[in-house]
Amino acid sequence: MTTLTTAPAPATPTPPSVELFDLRKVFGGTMAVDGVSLTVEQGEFLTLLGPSGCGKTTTLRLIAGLEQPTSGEVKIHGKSMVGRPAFKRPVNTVFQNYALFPHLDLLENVAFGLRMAGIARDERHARARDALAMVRLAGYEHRRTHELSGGEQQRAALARALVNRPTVLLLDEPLGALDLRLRKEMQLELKGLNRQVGITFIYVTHDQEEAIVMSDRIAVMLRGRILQVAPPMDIYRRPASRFVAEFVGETNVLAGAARATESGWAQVQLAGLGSLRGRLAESLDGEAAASVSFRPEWVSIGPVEAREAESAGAMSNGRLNRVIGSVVQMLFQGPDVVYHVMLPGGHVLRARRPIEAAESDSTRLGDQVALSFPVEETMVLVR
Amino acid sequence: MRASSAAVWALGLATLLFIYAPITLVIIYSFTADQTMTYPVKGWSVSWYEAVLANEPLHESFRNSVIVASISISVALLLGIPAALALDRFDFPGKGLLERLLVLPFVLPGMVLGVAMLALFNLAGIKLSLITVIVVHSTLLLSVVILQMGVGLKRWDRRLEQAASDLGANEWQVFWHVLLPNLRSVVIGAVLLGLTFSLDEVTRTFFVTGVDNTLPMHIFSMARQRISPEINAVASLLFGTSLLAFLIATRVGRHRVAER
Repeated sequence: MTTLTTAPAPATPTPPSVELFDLRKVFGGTMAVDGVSLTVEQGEFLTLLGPSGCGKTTTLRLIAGLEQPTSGEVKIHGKSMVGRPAFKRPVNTVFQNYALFPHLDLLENVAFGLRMAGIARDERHARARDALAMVRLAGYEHRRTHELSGGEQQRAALARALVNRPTVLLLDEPLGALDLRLRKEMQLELKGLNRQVGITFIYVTHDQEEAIVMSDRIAVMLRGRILQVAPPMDIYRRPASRFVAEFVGETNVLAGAARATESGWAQVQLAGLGSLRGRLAESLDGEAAASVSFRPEWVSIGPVEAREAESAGAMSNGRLNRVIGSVVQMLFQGPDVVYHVMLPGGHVLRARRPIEAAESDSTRLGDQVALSFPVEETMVLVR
Repeated sequence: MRASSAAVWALGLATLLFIYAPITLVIIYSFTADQTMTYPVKGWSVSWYEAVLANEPLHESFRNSVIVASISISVALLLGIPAALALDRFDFPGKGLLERLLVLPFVLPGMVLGVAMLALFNLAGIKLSLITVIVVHSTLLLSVVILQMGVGLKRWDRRLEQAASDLGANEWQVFWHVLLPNLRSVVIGAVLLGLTFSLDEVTRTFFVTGVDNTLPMHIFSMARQRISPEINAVASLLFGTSLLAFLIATRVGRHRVAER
């Protein structure tokens, strides 16, 4: 895995919060988790992001001890968790369906872990009250779980996990059942809580926006493997593969043949469209089939210059890539206008302009335009 | 349309009458002042209830029945709950067969089981006593408990067990603090049903009773000697108790529905 921001190995003797070594899990012949290795630092907010069935929840359950790996190892604070059941691990989980106990009131739900740990009644109730107050559920102590709204249940599940002061908190799509507004609110709260309590958060979601907003680092997963681990900004601007580029955010992709030029850069020949220049996601020897990916918000729209009108359509001048096409669609999307521009080969690219920039230009439907975007923000993806 | 709906009503009423008229008669005649059941009732008294209160052999049979029922249901719970859990959780060769074998005593004609048990006790040289009755009742109630628990466990959300274990509960604590409290109504239902079966069981009991009679066996022998209104009084008391148990059972059931 080549990323721009792999943290250097810490010189301090304190072990990382969670380490996964070549973790594999087979369910009835299918490899749910296929060789996952990962290091999560103390206090970090790491998100496992991927489509459903990518193995992210299984990975989380392997850390929790709710599943045992087929092979590989989980270490928590440097200690091997091999053969150690869930109830003996210093982690707690917020489940997707919350899994609150229907036979207990909210206070007893939150105090459950402390009760199992043999903490005296008065102390565990006091701590459970504090935990409820922290998630703004003070006064709800004697409610039954079915009397709570989705958001309240979510916060209750969070309190029930955090009250045990776990060293690692595992969250399995905890916001999935909430409506958009509440979800955005809870995203910020969770992020704040992570900073405030200093507990390592490992968060599972299929929602890339959620992952970007909250995470210190994102691990993008597909078919049981981790494709890329990096901070959200790097995942977004420097995706290492076409899947990551397309899964996280919106992007334009053109296929072609890449040839490495100087170190870290490549020239990509597009079929019948000329060539573009971009950053290589990984080192490349000679030529290879590749995708060129660039985000619509980096693409600006301008008039076609006279000397360009005769050319093949795509070119680069070292700093900017330029592509010629005609505007087939203009969509007003709140703060932005999105232009759909068709290339001679029939491929449609998108350019996203802020509304104030779009207002001042006179582009009309059907116009021939030149799209330009920086080579710095153009990724050449071999995978 | 109207005529047919009237016919349905009539049929329904006739059915209810068919079921409940004898019970009503039993209750009415338990209060008769007469020595026999004659129509019309000549006078009212509670003397037959006083006779019941004074009938020492009847009391003893009742005590025997309570002993048999409570030990049998305890044995059935102790064996049946783990068995139901094992059948719910694990796959092993012969599981389907075992499942059927465990509920067979419930389906098998009582007389077959009674004869078989009697033969077994004879072969083993075990003297018939309340203990043999308890053994027979336990097998029957074991089926009841396994069947009831099986239904309850099928509806049970095992993710709650995982949540508990994630919160530090070991297997025993998960069972005791999460599974059992949530299936409380199922257990209570099984107990009430089991007690009803045991307190009322005659066919199997008949073959394995020694000198000590259970309540239904004693009533049976009383009835063979003479149909006296005293039997009506006993029957009325039993009916009242059963009704109470039934009401408690449905109350518990309704509570469960409300929780869901």
